[in-house]
Amino acid sequence: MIYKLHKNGSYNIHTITTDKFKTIRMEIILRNNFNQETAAIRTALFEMLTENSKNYKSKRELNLKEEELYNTIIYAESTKLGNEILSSINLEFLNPKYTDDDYLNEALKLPFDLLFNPNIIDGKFDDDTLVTIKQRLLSELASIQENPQKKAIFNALKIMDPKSISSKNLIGTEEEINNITTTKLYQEYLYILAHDYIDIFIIGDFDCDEVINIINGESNFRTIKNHDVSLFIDNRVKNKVSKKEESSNDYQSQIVYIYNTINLNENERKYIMPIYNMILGGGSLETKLSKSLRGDNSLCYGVQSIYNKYDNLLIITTSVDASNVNIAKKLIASSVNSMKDKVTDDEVKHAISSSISSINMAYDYPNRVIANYLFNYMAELDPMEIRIENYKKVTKEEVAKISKKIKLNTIYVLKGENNEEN
Amino acid sequence: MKKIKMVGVDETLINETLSNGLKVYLLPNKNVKNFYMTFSTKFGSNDTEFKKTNAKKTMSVPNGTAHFLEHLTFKMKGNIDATDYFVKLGSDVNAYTTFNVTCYEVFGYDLFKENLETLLDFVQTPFYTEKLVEEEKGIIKEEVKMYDDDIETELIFRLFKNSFHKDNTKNLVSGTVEDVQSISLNDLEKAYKTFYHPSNMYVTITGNFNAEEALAIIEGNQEKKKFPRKESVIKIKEKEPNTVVKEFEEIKRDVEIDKVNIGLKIPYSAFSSLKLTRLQENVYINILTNSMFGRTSKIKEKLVSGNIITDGLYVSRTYLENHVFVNIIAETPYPKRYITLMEEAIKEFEIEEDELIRKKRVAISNLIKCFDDIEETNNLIQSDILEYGDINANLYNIYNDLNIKTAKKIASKINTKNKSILVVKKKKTEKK
Repeated sequence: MIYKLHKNGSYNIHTITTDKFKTIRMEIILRNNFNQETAAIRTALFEMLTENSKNYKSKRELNLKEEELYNTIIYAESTKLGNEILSSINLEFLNPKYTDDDYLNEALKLPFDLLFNPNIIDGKFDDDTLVTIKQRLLSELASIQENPQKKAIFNALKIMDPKSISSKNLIGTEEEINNITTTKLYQEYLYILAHDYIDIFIIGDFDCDEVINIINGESNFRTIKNHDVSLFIDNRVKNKVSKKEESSNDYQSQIVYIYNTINLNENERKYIMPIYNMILGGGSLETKLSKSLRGDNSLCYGVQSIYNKYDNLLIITTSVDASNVNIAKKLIASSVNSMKDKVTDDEVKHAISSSISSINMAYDYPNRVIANYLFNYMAELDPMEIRIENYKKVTKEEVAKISKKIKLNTIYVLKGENNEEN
Repeated sequence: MKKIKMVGVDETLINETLSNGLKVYLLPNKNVKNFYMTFSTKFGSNDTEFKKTNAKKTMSVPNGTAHFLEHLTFKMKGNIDATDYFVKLGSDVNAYTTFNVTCYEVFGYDLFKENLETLLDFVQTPFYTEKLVEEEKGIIKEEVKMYDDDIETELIFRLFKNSFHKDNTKNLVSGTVEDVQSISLNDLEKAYKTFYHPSNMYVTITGNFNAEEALAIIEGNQEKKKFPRKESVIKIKEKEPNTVVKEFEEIKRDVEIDKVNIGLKIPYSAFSSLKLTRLQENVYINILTNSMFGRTSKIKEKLVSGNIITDGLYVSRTYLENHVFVNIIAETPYPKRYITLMEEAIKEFEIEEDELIRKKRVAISNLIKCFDDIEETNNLIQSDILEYGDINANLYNIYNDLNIKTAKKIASKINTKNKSILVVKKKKTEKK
């Protein structure tokens, strides 16, 4: 796998050549500081850009072209990462050796055609398309309310701090979505092209010069950017823990605990805290939380902790019967407490091993390889080999020490019906 | 050892059947870093009544037994969970149960031999006690309740319930809370003894490993173990009528936007005069249903541009012994209008040549892409075993040979009269 960075002033091309895959993947990533006022407009804009264009008048026309190109897949993706917003147009297509002669050229041009020939007339996007996109975003917003766990996390973050960027979502509120206009979309389009940092990643088996020539021929990014983008969010630490319980009509009760991580140094943030999280509730059945709530007490099917590095937050979630909420809360608190002095060498060893395994898994998926190089470039994530070596150095003492830098912020319960008693 | 060249995709599969009946399928890929190994038994949630070939008595187990057994298989002597072993090996272990299979899976990058032997050993070393069964009931009941809170699960399984008279597909894979409560240690032991014999199981490994070594490890491991005499199992199924149980149902739930699931129950018998294999029938049906309702379909464009649906139509197919069941799910603020337009669209299946050519490209591309992902490759091999009894190395050519004449004949024979519609409407409730 050979990685090269090609700086072009207003944008960068990152090529990752490898014969591992039968496909080629390209991501055109535009990023900037998160702005709540324009977040919904921005998300809608990228949906608009991949819905149709001047050359593909409808989504169906675009989809027909994709199918002609051996089911080339093109889609927009928006992500909030700490304080930043990343929007991308992603392309996945077959290695040209399985297809026709001009395939590479045609496939690569498609996302640039969408980006630079949008369906804009008289300084505004198409009205009918916007109606469709608004409906899609409203549906996405509604889906949070229909998923008890997502709803509980969303509510808990709002209780933690409604003003924090961590509690905002990419698609905004119903009102913000309804207020999007085709003119605002056009203004945002111009703003993004002029102000966003732009990186194009491409991975697969291709001739580097040929691909760079095609991309440079199609790219029409003109402005060089040099403003600051900051990734990390410092969520306010509270003296008194916020506690709230609400009722729902769901069968299960959702419990969410939010902790601040305080003043972590770079090594703690990158290596020790992920190991801490892996031991506490990082996914397997062997974590402290899972052993306690599921293994020893049969209270739940799943319990997990999530470390949001860029938000400086640790979030614990589980779903239990309403009659078991109090005991589950006690067990969560005691599991977190046990991280101070009851972590064993074996637990650290296994967490390191799981973390290394997770890095190794990433090598086999084009999107995850791109994500690694992207974070390496924009978020100082160490290269995979260095991360593996640094994980190996984490000790039990360091994990215990970091426990002191974790402070409870919010406890939220979305209480369902009491099934066991009913 | 049989080497099978997978046509058109530059891959070779190795297949062997051991003396105890265990089948092994290996597809190494030196380009990747990881391996994905699965150990599966042809025992799924649908298998609740069965008998050994020479036995007089039929045996039965409650719904949800296969899934319960999947959970319990992880329990080892000395209060150890099999997950412990894999954590030490730096790999990920998991399992899943579907209508027709229980599959134990390991994803790893190192210590191949240890991982493979541990997978074989924990699945083949049952340790069940009354206490473990009772403890696990609490966990599984919470899992069931989690599905009860999931609207997509309800959309699918309620429609299955409304569509099947006899077929166990109508039941939740996990069973209901009551089913779980009713499962006994005796049921689990009975199921294990019947379905976890090597002759009813198979190992599939994809990713970075040495095939010769893998086979040697499996052979060596199996030779050390004693198994009862091979006995074929007959799964008892009642004949499923072509009609649905309930043609329409509307329910109210805590949803923000209404949802509709339309199910088409298509009997394979309609295509018998065409003398196609089951695989060919399925390939044509997939292409036709994608063409009719997929992302390039005219009806989808009409529904989206008319703001009748919020996004796409989600089409999936479930292959049963005598029927293929096609599900089309959509979210819509106007369920009545949506159903009217869809009923009009599904009256007549049709396809034109240019469409078939495009869909062939899509199918070929998806087949090639599948081999980029060791998990998908493994799933493809497993679905061949489960649906067709053997590997289809020739799928690439089957796609290439699809022709418009047969596609049109299949389209004309698809009977969409047997359909069931489920509408989930928003419930206006007061929060407690």
